Amino acid sequence: MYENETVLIDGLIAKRDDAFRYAIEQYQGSMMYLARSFVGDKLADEVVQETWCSAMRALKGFEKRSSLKTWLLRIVANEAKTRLRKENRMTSLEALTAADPEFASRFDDNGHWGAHRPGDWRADSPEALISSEELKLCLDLMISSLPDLQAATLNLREQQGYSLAEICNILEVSESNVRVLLHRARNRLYRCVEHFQETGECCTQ
Amino acid sequence: MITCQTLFNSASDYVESTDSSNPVVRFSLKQRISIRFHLLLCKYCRLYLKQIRLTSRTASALTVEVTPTDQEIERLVQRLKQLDD
Ligand SMILES: [Zn+2]
Repeated sequence: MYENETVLIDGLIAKRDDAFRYAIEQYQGSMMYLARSFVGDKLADEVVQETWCSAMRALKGFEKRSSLKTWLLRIVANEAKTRLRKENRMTSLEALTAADPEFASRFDDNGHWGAHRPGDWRADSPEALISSEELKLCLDLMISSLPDLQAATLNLREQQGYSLAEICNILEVSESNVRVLLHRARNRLYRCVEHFQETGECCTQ
Repeated sequence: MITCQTLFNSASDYVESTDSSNPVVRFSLKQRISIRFHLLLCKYCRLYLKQIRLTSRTASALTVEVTPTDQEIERLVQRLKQLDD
C-alpha cells in the first residue's frame, strides 16, 4: 500500500513503524550514495541521519511538487552543503565551473587540437576499460576525490540515472551550471583514462 | 565552421542531447549541422567524442550497490519514532 506516495506520507506523519521501514528501504541507499559522493564516507552517515530527522519534522509542509525521493535527496544535498560550509570545505561554484587550464592549453590559436590531441585507447567498452584492475581502482579513487558539487552531479547523473532537470532541483543549481559541472567531472575522468592509456599509470600518483 | 575547442566545450551537452531518451539539452538544427559537419572532417574530435561517451558510460559501470543493513534500518526506525514534533 505504501507504493502510493500519499499513503506513505500519511503513514510517516502518523509515525507508523512499517511506513518508516518502507521509506528507509526505498530511499536510504540512494540518499547514502549521494551523501558519500558529496561529503565522503566518514560524514555521509551523519548527513543522512540528520536528513531523515529534519525531513520527518518538515513532512507536514511537503508540497508534493516533486517526488518524495527527490525531496529527500534535496535535503541530503542541503545538509551536505551546510556541513561543508561549516568546515570551510565547500568549493565555490565559480571554481568548479571554471575552464580546465590543462584542456585549454591543448588547443592552438585557431582552436584546433594541438600536439596533445586525442589518441587511440586500447578499449572500446566500459567493460574492456575496467577489466584492468589498476585502472578501475584509479577511476574509483578519482571519482571519490572529485570536489563536492562535481562529485554529486556525476553521481546523480551517471550512477543514479537522474535527468539534468532533476539534478538542478536536487542540488539547487541552475541547469547551465549542472551541464558545466557534468562536463568538468567527465573530463577529469577522461584525463585519468587518457593518462593511463598513455603511461600505464594512475593519474593521481 | 566551428573549431575543435568549441566542439570540445559542447561535447558533454552533445552526448546528453543524443544519448538521453528525454534530452533536456537541445541543439538547434544549425548547431547540430555544424557539429556533424565538423565531425565529418575532424578525426580528432570524432575520437574525443567517442572517448568522452565511453568515459561517461564507464562512470556508470562503476556504480556500486548501496543498501542499508537490517540493523541500520531498525536503528533508524527507532530513532524516527522517538522524534519530537
Ligand atoms: Zn575538431
